[in-house]
Amino acid sequence: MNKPQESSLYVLLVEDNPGDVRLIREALAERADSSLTLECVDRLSIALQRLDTAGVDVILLDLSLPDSQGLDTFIKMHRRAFRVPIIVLSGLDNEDVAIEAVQKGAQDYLVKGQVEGYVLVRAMRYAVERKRAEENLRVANERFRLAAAAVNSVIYERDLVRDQVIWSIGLSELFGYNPQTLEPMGKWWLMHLHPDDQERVREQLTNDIAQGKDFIAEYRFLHANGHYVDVWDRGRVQRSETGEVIRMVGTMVDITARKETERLKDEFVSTVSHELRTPLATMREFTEILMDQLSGPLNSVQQEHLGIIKANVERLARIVDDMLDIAKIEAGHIILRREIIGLNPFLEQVVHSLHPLAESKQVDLRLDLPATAMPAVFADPDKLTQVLINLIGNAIKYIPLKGQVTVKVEERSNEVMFEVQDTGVGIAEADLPRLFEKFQQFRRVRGVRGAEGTGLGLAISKRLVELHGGQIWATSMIGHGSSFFFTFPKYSAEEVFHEHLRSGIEDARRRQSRFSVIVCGLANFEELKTLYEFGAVGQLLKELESLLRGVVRGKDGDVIIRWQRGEMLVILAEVDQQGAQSIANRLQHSVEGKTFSIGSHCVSVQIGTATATYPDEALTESELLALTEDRLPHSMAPKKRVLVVDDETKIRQLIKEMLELRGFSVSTAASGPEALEQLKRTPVDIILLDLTMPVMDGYEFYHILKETPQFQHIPVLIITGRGQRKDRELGLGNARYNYLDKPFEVEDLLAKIRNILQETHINKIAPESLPVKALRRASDFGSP
Amino acid sequence: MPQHILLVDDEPDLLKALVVRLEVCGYSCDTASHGAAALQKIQTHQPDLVLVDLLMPVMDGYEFCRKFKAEPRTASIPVVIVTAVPERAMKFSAKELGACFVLHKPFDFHNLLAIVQSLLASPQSP
Repeated sequence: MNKPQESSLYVLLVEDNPGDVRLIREALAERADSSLTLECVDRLSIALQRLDTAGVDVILLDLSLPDSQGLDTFIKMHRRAFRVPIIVLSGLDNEDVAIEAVQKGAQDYLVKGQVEGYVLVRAMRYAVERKRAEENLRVANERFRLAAAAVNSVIYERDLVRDQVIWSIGLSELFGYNPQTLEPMGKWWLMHLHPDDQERVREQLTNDIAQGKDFIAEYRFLHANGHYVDVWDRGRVQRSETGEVIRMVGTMVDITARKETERLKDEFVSTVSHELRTPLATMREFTEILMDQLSGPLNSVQQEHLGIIKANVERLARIVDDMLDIAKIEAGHIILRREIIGLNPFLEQVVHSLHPLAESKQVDLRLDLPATAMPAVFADPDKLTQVLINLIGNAIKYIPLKGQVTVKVEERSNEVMFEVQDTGVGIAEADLPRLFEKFQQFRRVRGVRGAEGTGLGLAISKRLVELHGGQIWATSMIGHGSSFFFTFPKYSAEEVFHEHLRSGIEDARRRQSRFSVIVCGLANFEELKTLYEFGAVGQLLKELESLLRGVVRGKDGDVIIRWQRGEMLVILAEVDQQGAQSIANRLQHSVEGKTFSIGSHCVSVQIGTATATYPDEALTESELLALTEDRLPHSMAPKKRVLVVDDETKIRQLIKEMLELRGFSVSTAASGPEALEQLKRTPVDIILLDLTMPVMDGYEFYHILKETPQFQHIPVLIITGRGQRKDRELGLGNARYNYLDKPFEVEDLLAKIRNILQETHINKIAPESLPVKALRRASDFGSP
Repeated sequence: MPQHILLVDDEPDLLKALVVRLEVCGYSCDTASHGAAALQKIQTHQPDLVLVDLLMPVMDGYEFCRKFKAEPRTASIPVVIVTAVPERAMKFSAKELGACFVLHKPFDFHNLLAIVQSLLASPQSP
């Protein structure tokens, strides 16, 4: 065995009883340990003085001294020498005080008269080691705290299972809150975000956790003094051995100063650019006045010189525009106004607008579209135009004369790829990587007049493409022309829907106007679905959709319509409450008295509507949607989904039938593992759980459920025989349980379920529940 | 009698360029370097059209428009705003200001001329 080398130990014994001093001396002498040195003093005051000089490794302290008594003796000593380990010597009668001293920081205590030499030495050595470890920890903590303070940051640890957060001390230095007195819930953090940032950050956090990604976000955080601080937050998730995401550790960095600098820079750039525009406009005007010979005739040399001035004035104007563009993009001020763009007509128009430029250089400009219609992209049309014009314009400019420029599009699995191909001179391979950087000019063509760009066009294009989530790149061979490619992701219906909703709210907020969600449901959809075959009902829905589309089209600004879960129609419009109600009324009127045909049958449809308006009634996406869902007549709200977990087939069937009769959508599982498997595929609104099951009993299942972030918010109703519930209640932590005793009446079960669902609805403010709900809603989107 | 245009801008060079061009096109022009001076000139000579910048000393274009449109004698005279302020940074929209058009600097003179011609060709009834 490796025995650690015994280092020398200088012991200060503070003891006024000569008898006790002798006993300790003898006990130590027994050990005959030459590394030990003992010094004795009999007063606290002398001991305190002695400590002015270093060299004491451990203190043996009697609490009853002529000049100090009891715990006070320890406190004074500890305060004076808090880095020296202290072992308290107590009599049999005052062990309590000694224990108190240990609680206050003494390393150990020994009862006088029971001390043997080896015990004493071991206690002292341990005390020294422990103290050293404590000291190291303290230094490390201090270093950590200082490091965090030096980079203006707070370090946090977020327990994702219990939604609790532990904060580093920086929280008080940066934000003025004392982490010790704080409610440790994640909600506290969220509630202190700027209201405009909450929804976005919450959603992002939920998504990043679900995907196990690093969470990186910028937001404004409320300082205790009432001001908001700009924060950059980066958190990393940690997984348990079973791979579940359980924890997130991260830092919140104060970036207020950086933000301020950025803001000043942006302001500077935009002020300077605006200031440049006015003299530029004047120069251009007078140049043109001269060129138009309004102030007298010009000879041909003068005209040529004026032409050069004019071209350069135009170029300077373009640089100013581009610099403003870049500054805006870099400052994050560009707001994409995305809409659904049908590519075929769009590209035809853009290419058509560039024909004059192409003709002036005798360039053959072609649009090469595939035979099949291209999918629509969801993008800002102005920005897409800007990128295309930049790339096509460049291609034309850099072709010496009589070349060919071809614009192509290709649909790929997740994206649409655009290509602008030219037969120009090409770009050197070494130049390709720097092509999209700011102010990179390449000697592509010598002597091509007027080809000078601003050096910013490609940099702007790159940023615009990336803002849309796409990529841009180029390939080229000297002498064989170049190809510029960029991609725009294809957007799914739910993303389009959410984007519309989000930008609608944002626009309304900026303009201080109103934005409404109008939901329209087909009341007898269930009935129709059971009576007629799927395809025929789908046809009816399409017919109905085009009728309803006609009712709202063009009257209320931007309106989009999507089928939701096959039976719902959502309209987003820039209208106030009244306007929304009038759209809803028009929708109602439009189907009244109308008959539709399904196959050879004539059917009538009844629709129900509900509206919600920002900001009068709700402030966020989810609130708007939740509100409309609440307001829609009950039968039309999407069915609540119930999962019944019970090992007895009969009971499963019975509950399923009962609940389906009451309009629930019910799935069943015979065991815990099966239920978990199902949940991964299809989320539910509530779980009915039997406690006694083989394989995995109800409690175990409940545990797993509550420890899985994805499932922990699903309410559970435990169905159990009387008397069963107490046996392992303690094992379930301190959550609130919903119990229902067997045997039960159907009405009791329904009442319980309704209660729980209503409660869950009210508690929607819990961080995860809303976004998950919103996503689920969106994923159910699409035509029937 | 040529139609009369009042140009209000604190950039004398730009005003001069516009005046040269507009006069060539057959209009008579007068200029003012801010809103208050413009309102004064209107007292003696009522224009058929006003071109006005937004950011000017003494009285800016916003206030000029408000006063100009509040005065019954001038309320029906068309106003075109010519400004370097981008649309989203404007404190009030053209509609709110009672203006017919907004032209952002730098602008193309032919666009300006087209707007002027269209406004003056179809005189508005009071």
